[in-house]
Amino acid sequence: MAITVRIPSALRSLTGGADEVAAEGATIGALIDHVDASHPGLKDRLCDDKGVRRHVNIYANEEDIRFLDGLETSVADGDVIEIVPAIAGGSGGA
Amino acid sequence: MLVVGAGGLGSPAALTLARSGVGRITLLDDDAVDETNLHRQILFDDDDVGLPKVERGAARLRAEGAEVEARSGRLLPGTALDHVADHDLVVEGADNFATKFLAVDACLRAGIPLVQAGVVRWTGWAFATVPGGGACLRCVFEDIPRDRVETCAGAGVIGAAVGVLGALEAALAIRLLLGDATAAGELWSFDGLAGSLRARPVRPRAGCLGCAGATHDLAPERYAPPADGAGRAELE
Repeated sequence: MAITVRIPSALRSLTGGADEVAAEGATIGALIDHVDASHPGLKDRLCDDKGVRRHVNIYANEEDIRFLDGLETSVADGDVIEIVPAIAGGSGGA
Repeated sequence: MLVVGAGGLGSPAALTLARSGVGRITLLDDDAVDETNLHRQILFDDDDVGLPKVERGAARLRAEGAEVEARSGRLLPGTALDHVADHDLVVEGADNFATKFLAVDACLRAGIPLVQAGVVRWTGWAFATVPGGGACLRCVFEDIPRDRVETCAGAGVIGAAVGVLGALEAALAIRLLLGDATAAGELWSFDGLAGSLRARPVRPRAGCLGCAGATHDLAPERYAPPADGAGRAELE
């Protein structure tokens, strides 16, 4: 069993349109590296040299990893990882 | 109540709130109705094209029984506190990060609850901030993105998706008006393609500038768009 990573629509151009990808790794950081190996560019969209980009939220089993161990947060088979980026569109006004 | 932006989010939010019995609404926008708005901005019809959104939107909301002030303008650092003043609640549906962070900073300073949302293509989020009542938007997204982020200009936004998020903003607003403090501090995310709508509790973040009051000065440079346009990232 692998770990499920849910991909937001803004990043699906990097996953061939897939809204979920399966990945492996012992930590969130390793998981991102694993996904980036098969979907190049994803890590750069999620992380900078300081860690997770500040407008990106990553949840491990519904818990914000900022309140866990960040990129060092442990994950295991069956876990679900969700990426929620800031988006600002939708108005066309103001 | 103040509705910032009579667009894709503000339209369904304001219409739902007016029909729900919210008696007094201030509608703030400086734009005119464009033909390309009509698929998602349900306050307007073909006959409104070219006319000020606040005037046409106010007329529509008055027809629903609300007392409406049509206020032509934008939420800017120099005007934000005046705009939010004397309102019980602010519903924000602007299309750029600068306005979203300015709105939360102004409402935190003024002590006014705020409901916000953002949508691109089929995906969006909604969040309510109650000053002094837990996490704020800056606890979630921290600041205007100033690094590389995909621009979705041209990708479009789905009218049904902004409809969902605008209605969700109205639902959060109604809960707050009814005194339900649990409506605040939950990050709602919607994915119209994956068929998911989730709410996750957000904890106050240590070091949050908004919660610490460090953004109360509404310093204009804090809301200036980045030179490379990244702050308008992931727009419709």
